Amino acid sequence: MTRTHNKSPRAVIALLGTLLSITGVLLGACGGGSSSTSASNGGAAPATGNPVRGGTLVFGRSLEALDLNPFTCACENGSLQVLSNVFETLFRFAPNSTGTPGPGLAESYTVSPDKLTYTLKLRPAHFSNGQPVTAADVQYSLTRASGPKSLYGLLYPIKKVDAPSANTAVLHLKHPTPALLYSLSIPPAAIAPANILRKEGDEVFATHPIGAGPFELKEWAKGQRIVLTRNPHFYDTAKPYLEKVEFRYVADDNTRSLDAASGSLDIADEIPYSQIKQIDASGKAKVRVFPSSSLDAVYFNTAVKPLNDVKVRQALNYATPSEAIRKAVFLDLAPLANSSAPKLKYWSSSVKPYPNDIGKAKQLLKESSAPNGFTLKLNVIGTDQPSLQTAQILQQAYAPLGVKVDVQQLDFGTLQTKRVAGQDMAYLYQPDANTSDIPVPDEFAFFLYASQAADQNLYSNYVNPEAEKLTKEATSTFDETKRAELFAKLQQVTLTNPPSVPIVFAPYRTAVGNNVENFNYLLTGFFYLDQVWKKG
Amino acid sequence: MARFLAKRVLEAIPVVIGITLFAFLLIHLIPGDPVKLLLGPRATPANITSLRTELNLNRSLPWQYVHFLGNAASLSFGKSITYRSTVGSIVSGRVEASFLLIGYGLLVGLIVALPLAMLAAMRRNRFADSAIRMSTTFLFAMPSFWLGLLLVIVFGLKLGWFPTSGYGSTFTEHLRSLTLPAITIGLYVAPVLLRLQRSSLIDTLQSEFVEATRARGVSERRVLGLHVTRSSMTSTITFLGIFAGVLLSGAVVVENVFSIPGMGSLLVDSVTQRDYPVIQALTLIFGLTIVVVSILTDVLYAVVDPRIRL
Repeated sequence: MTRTHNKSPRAVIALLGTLLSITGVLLGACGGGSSSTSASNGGAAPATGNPVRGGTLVFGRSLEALDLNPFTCACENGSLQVLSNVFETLFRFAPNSTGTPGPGLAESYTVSPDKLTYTLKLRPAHFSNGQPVTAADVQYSLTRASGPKSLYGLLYPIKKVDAPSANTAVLHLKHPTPALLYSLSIPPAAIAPANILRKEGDEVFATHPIGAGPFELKEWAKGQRIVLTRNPHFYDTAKPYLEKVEFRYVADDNTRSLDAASGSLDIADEIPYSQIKQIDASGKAKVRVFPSSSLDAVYFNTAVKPLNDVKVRQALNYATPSEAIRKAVFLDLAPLANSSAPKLKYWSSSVKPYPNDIGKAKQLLKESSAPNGFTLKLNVIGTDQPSLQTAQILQQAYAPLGVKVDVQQLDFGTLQTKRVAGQDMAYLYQPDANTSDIPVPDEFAFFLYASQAADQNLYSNYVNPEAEKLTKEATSTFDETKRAELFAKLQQVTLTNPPSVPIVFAPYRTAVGNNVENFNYLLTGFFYLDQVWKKG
Repeated sequence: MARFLAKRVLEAIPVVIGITLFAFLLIHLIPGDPVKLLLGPRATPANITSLRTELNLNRSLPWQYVHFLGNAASLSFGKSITYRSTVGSIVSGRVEASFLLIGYGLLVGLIVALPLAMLAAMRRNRFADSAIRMSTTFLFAMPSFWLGLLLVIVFGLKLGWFPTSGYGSTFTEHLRSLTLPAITIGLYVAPVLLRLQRSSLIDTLQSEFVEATRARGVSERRVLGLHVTRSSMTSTITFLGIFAGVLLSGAVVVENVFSIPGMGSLLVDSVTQRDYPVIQALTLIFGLTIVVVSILTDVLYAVVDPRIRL
């Protein structure tokens, strides 16, 4: 008994929308429509006035935290968004930036010439229970985060952590790692009090986590709400500005949008595209569009015939009216994708997306192993409107090729299981669900092109030795210019031989109350609330 | 009476076991591995195996089912896979909201349906009767989630009288938050109640005992208010007993629309995450509720209609 879409009024509205958009696509195709990639009304709105102390921020989320222990959690965005505010990391991402992370608990650091040893100087800081943060805590935390039980490959390069003095920690690496500072900024690399974790064990600690972040956990009614209060021991004494943050789990998209429009939520995430105008007109909140680290694409299982043939994949790319989907489904708010990986640092604008060229598509398909077309079984999440709309447009768009799109509406669990088991052919994800943990492409490039041994390149079964080689080179190169060049080359190589049909870089749509200042998403799907304040 | 109750309770045991078995098989038949869903794409095979062992998911299905039954008998349902805390602690916080919502909704339904039914029956085939029947048919045809959304837009968003969603933290806040959802449920039940009660009232009004009562000089008010109403209630009570299941499943939709932390919204999330222990506990509670309601219906039947002896 999942949230079946066919019970929802949105289904009807979406159907109408889709019909309209299909008409638009056909008209666009006739007119030979020119494409523009300018999109997104830019994430950040500049903060106005001076920060104000106090107040409660009520944040309605489509996701719920599942595990608040940084060392055991699978750390999906629902948990990361809480962890990033309760725990402090050695370094911190800069909002709206892909730049090198700034100082967090580490005040400064030095790197050995062979890039294998990082010596960190810790700032004086305290956990929310008043206990000081020491190098022993760093040693304990990072040893666990990089250990074999950790779910985060990003931290595996850490071989050993030493604590020569209370405020000095030394990290020894297995191999030079250019993305290390980014990896040390994610919540799974949080610094937690070793003595408490050792005494209580993981499960008890997860019920009342203690970190050195700007807030501390006050209440957690699982599946309902999470209440954070200001951590009086936070090292930056000016922050956080807010006294209290209440995360409410509001699963239904309509309800969350109405709550934002009525002002009962200060912030609401994942606003459906169709509701943006209504919220903007409410006078209580405005929907802000933040770039994300997610790629919306038709993902393939390239082991399945005829998708194993690169010409078939190219043909489908040429046949996809991405620009029309961008306008009709994503309301012009998402940039067109010119990459088979998310848009992160080193993304290159010089790589050209596939034009919508049905003639070229037909020709490629004729030369392929499926000259007479085939049936493309496309799994979509039945409750996700953008996926359903996209799927219906693709049905029309691929028909002239003789490719019949058989849309299978599934719930997330079924789709995911089929995908992991390799029992699928192609699928669409909820557009902004699959995000990178770091704003540099090192993680996703590895997942998509170089993790064949671990998970068949995220279950795509994509085999591209050149991409694998480029990934390995790019993720171990320190020189920024060289790195940018290698990643741009990788972007081109993996678009020419595409593992998927990239459509858009889907953004986050967040309703932000008119009295909320300085709220910013990070590219990585979480945020720091210590910088946020509410006008009186 | 005691004998009847004992018999019904004994009969109920296989029914409840049947419900849980059916639910157990159903949820295990749909694809989806809770451990893989929980750990995400980063999980290594070793991570997956160790969590599967911890959660007993590597055991055979019959073993898991018998284990669940054994636990259920001692009211322990193990640990939630998603939230990694006891099922009891997660479900117990949800029971109150659901039952309060259904009770409130039922009350709204009765308050709307009973007086209108009386009016319609008295003015049979006249304008008031037709108007009432027409408007309730219209209400019944409306899907409950849509009606709910309309109510939220008008009374929550435009007028600001009630919260658009949520549950509040005090009892008064609960009642205020549950008003719109309860009206949604109430207006869904009311048309059926009204129609049943109307035809039953018409039958009763035509029966001889009513004439006899009137002939004895009993006031019209007392005739309608006591004798007719009481005698016509039996079919409505039967209906409510049967309708309990529909109400429970209706609450699942309404709880989701209004973001009420009840058992229905928990069930939706648990199914999505394949949180087997929570799903099993909830099906058991739902099954038990329906069985208890049906026993209560029989008892109430006897109370309202003294001709019935249990």
